[in-house]
Amino acid sequence: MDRNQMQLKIACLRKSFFDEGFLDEQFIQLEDLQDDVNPNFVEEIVGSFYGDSVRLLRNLELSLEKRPFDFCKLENYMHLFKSSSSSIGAIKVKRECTRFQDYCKAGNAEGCISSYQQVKQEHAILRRKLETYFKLARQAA
Amino acid sequence: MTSQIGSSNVKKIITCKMTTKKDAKALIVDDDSMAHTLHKHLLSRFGFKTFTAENGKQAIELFRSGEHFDLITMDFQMPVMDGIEATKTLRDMGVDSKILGVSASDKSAVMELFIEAGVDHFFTKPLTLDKLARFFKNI
Repeated sequence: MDRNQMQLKIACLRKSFFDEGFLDEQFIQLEDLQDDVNPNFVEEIVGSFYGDSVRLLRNLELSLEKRPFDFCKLENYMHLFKSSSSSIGAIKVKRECTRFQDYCKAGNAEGCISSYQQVKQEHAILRRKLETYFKLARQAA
Repeated sequence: MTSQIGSSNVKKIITCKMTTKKDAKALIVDDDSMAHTLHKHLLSRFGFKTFTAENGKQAIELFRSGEHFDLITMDFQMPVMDGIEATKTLRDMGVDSKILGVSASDKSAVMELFIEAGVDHFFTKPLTLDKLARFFKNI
């Protein structure tokens, strides 16, 4: 693949993030902070998000294994995860986090379990897409 | 916002009243390391030298040790001491730094608590260049 084709592929992939509702304007704000002084800023902050999210998701998993559920604790853990997600513009992940929080407030254990799976799924899908994107961007640089 | 120096792309500092003096300092109070990274980059674009604290208690200890910051970004939910308590304590100590309350929660109750505690403004996370530019324009 020549450089132009590569760049076109990267641009299309990036556009798809917004068209398919994976990312919102916050991602563009991150790109705006990237320059020659911080050339990998976006990839670094996304990497930081995925690093932190492993820990946050683990805390949630452990709490979801305990009975009865501590809905307050679960909601607090998800609040942190949602905050991190919104920092990179991960809108689908954020939406699922909100759904989980709503189930916590309603004391709905089944709802929490199923929406947690959705959170994990959206998180994993976005991670794969972003990893592909950054890999291509590095190859094109 | 972008200047071209040779072939480099280095973003200009965005001018703001608070950083016309040299060595304007900002304290980022948040338990989230991502918020530290993001807020550091945002505030550096306005010319601030940035420092971080993991919770309200650390922030207060910094001021008690004689440090001063022109601007504080104060997260709402933190372990040990939350942003509301930290803001109240700082104001009771006579700290006159500009304080921006921030929270991932968009509930008006959070904003009201922060305003009552003595912040200068409140933003829902994530902080952005636009939000900060608006705040600096109005102070």
